Amino acid sequence: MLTLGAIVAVYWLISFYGTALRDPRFLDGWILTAAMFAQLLFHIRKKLPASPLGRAATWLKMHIYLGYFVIAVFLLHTSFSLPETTLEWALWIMFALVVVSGLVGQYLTSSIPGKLQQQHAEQMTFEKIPTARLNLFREVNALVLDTVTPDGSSEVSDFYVNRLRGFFRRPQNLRAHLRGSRRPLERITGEIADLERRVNAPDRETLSSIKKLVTAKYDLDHLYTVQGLLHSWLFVHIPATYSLIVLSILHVAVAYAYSSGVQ
Amino acid sequence: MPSPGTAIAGVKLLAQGNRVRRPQRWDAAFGRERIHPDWVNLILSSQILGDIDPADFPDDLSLADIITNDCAVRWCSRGEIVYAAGSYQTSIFVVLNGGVRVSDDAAADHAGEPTAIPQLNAWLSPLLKGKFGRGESNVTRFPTVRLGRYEMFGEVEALTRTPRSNTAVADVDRTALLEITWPGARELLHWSDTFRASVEELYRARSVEVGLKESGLFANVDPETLVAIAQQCSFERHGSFDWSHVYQRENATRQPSAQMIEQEPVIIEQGHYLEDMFLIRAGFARVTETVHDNEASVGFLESGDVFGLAEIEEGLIFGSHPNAERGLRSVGYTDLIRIPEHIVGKFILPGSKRRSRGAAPAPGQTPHGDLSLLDFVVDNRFINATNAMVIDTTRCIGCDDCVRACAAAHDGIPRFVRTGRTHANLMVTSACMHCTDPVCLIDCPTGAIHRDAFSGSVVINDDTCIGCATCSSACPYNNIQMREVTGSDGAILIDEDGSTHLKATKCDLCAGQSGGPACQRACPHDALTRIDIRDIDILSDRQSRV
Repeated sequence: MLTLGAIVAVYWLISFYGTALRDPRFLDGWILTAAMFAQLLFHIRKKLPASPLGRAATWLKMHIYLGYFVIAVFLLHTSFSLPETTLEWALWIMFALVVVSGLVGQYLTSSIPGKLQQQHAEQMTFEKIPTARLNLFREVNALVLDTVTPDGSSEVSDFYVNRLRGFFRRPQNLRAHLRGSRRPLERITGEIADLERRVNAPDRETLSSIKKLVTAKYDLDHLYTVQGLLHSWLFVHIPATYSLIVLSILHVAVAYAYSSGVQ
Repeated sequence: MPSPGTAIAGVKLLAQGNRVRRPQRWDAAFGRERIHPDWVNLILSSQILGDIDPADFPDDLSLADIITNDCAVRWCSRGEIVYAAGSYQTSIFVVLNGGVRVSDDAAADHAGEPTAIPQLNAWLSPLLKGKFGRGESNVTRFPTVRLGRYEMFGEVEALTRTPRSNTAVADVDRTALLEITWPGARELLHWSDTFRASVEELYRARSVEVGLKESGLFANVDPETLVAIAQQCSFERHGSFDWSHVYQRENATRQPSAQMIEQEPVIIEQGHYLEDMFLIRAGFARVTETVHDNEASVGFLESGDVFGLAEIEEGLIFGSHPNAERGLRSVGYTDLIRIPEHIVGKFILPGSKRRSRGAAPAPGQTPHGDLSLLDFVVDNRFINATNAMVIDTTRCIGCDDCVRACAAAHDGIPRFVRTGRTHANLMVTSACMHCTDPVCLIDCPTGAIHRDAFSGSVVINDDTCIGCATCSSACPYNNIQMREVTGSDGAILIDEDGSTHLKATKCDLCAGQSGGPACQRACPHDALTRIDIRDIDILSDRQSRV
């Protein structure tokens, strides 16, 4: 409501300013610039995590509401039209990038943790995933080694080398995880089921254990992909923000070089 | 305040290169100065500490050494506050000269006096020490009990690690008190059977009276009658003060809830004759209900809670023998006062609207809603937590801002690990929970780990920590870590014997910094909060929060 009130107030102020034979874009431009710089305060608060500057959660809320305000003022400033010059296009694209990455980030941070909670019984921090992956890799290696015959081969080990080794070594099926698909897992477990029909009883038992590890690895990759996504949007949002700030300063300089704001 | 990870002033002085002499117990005496030998001789030759026999103590831990290093003689003027109600202070005192008045703060509370706010009382105590003309009124304003020469006081809170239940004020000028710090008291209790027996006797006797007063159940009873009532009540202990090691053993095997319940000492079984009402004095108890031979938790009780009031009330109304509607088991240890049925009928029930927390809830209701949450909290002993770090995993995105904030507030080294036991969307992280009963400080040889006198949070004095790891191994939740100490050049300090120089480190709730715990302030998604888990409704709200 406060954001909406602020937007209406700015709209009224701009209309009023325009009647004084002054270019309202100078006023809403400065409001926009000030608001964008105010947005940076949240970033500064994050850089000072132990400072007694209030709760970061409150700062984030302000950042989001001010973000909506900035979008509205930007639209007023551009008169809902597309840019004309190269600099304006660069500004427009960068602004769009900041807004879209911010909105995507807001959606991801509010939706993903809850979904992960439902999908994974065991929660794991992002930093611990590589260790867990390595442990699974070692576990499956040990299982497979036990099946190797004196001549150095077995159907299980051949299958492992050709089909599973790469799967266990590094994160796989990232696109499927982004879609929430379990099709690659079903494919691998299907192949294991086929192999189970052709091997002896002890190897069948080993394959059954490997199947469990495959499922665990698939879930781990899902966790890795989704948690990675939670952090990755910032790699767009923050650089784009700084680029936008630089371009905005340039834009202000150019605007004043060609006009004083009097109509 | 210096902390592990940085140069520590006391250690630096001892350093030669990166080698340091490992600090020893008694490097720093408790008082500003060690007790004068004349005082030590006087204490040893008189009956000040009862029939304590110096021969009971080992050669390397003599009684004289304990008195010299772990005790202090305090001189007080009339009206000076020795300790204030509500403050966390764990020394035992013996009057050497003059006298002390111990206020009846329960009476003061009911009279609406300022001591109704114990924290405020504790904060004001330095101001009240004979200054601003308040000294005289400290002696006279509340009903008091006078203690004279060689009488001991303060033992109840020292043993139970609870805040002071009353205020002690010097009665005359030049009152001399022997202050025995907890490390000293622990040694005396350990080595001397006679000292232990006399303290235990005092504890049991005073615990009943203090417990009855504090409970508020006898608010309208005059002091003389209360003394008579106390004589008819009895004190009982179930479980053991040293419960943490038993719990650590049980916890290592991650037993299911039912199995954990089975191992807890029974206070009363469901359906058994309930001849007395129970008032919990210290520790915790689990309320259980047995359905189809399965005993499950339905609640827990802590200090000040009562069990069996509703049953006794019903028994008195219908003239029947009251039976316990639910069972009661000791969690860790439980000190309780048994209040006989006839006293309940005569003094408590008339006009009482208090309902026993152990009684059956109304149909369709459970005492705490989600019983699996209750199991989680009791089985993991989180009921001990006054300030647990709880993370809502449906909000946490793993940004680690909390960890960074903690590191920034503590010289670059975080004091917790963002992992822990989880129930549904709640994770109780491995950060010090500032327990109601902080067992970590029981065996600290120097008293370096202690409770802040005002806030009650458990903190470590880096200057007196000798790195023995006693607290770290005693913490039932593994929330105290031993960390290397580095010199001013950043290099790790090595002891004379070549081992790494260590200090205990843990969450201190960002003591000394404005704004409260940095971890909570730094969380942008409002996922992390510090919670008093004893109020399980707050936890339940947090669990169901959208």
